[in-house]
Amino acid sequence: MLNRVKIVLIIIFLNWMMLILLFYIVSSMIVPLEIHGELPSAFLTGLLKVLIAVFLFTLWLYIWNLSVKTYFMKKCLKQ
Amino acid sequence: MMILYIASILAILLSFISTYISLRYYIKFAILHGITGKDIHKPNQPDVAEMGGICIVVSIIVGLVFLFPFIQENNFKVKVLSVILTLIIIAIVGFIDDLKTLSAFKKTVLTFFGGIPLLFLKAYYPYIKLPFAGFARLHYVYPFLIPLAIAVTSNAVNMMDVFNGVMPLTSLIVLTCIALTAIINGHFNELIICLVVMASLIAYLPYNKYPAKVFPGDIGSLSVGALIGVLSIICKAEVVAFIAFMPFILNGFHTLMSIHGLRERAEIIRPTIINEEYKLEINKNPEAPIVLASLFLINGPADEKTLIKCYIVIALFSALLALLTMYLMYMVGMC
Repeated sequence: MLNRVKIVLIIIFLNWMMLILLFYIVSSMIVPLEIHGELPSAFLTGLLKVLIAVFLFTLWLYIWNLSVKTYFMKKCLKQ
Repeated sequence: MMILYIASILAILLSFISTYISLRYYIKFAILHGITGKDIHKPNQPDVAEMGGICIVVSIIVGLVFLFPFIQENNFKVKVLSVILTLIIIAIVGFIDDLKTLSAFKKTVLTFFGGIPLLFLKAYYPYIKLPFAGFARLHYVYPFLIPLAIAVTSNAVNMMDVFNGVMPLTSLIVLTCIALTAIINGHFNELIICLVVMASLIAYLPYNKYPAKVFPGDIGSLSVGALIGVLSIICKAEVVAFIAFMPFILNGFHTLMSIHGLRERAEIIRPTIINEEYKLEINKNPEAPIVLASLFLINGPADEKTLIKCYIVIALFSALLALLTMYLMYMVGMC
């Protein structure tokens, strides 16, 4: 049974590590982001932060999907 | 305060006992009235009682309604009320879907309405606790995320309900993580709601475990999923719940990506097929979606029992990572 779950465990672990890294980037770079002069309101600054975070999150999902798909296709082709 | 604690224990017991007893009678009633579905993973494909989720929904509502008069704190009353209303909305969606199959798009859109009670009753705090960052204020964005969270969790749990006992067991693992976060964050009132839900699922488990005597139906799986979403919001366990929920996301997300959008179950090519030995194997059709079971079966066919064990191992591993994340948050003094 361990042989069956091994690869899923690795995929989940790698994605968890990437998620933690994403949280670190969000907290150290995006949350403290202050734009002076360019954007007039706090609302717009907040919106920009959210958009960057959403983009990073989508990228995370994309990498996740790509890794599973690549592994699955490779394994299927071998068989 | 003492009365509230005694009432809480009674509400938890009530939720457990009413689920356990009502299911015993419901199974007989469902079989007698033809409310059944075929267990396709077993030889002879036996008829199994469907829509057992009704008993879970009713028992949780009974437990929470019993608790309601003993609550003095307004904030807690609002949270209990919002959980009950969300549960009712999603249960209605699930009930309609069980009776008359809704299109995947309609079902997904309708589950968004489950977030309305939380929004209107303001049963949320518009911030998220992130590892390393502490509180991230999301005054404008958070309200939009609530209906999305309810829709995602309810539909993801619905998609995970494929083998006997997988839905209650994996959901219980996620709910345990939420409960532990509630304890660490000092949200003891919210913990009571969580325990009422968990008690009902524990009582449901003996009936749904392999070989299942009852299926939850969409009413059960959508409702349990919505409750995971609501509880992660009111217990301020969004990040921990998200990580514990990763197997559900993996399963649901890859299904959606492989079928390119929302489709009803009947429209999707089955990801697995059953061979002559009644073992499951991957469907080699290139249009079949990639689900968690496909990844488990990549090394060869397996029986249902083995697959159930695989799901549990993955859910436990994600829960471990969720707890590790909670520890990381705690270490930097954010919890």
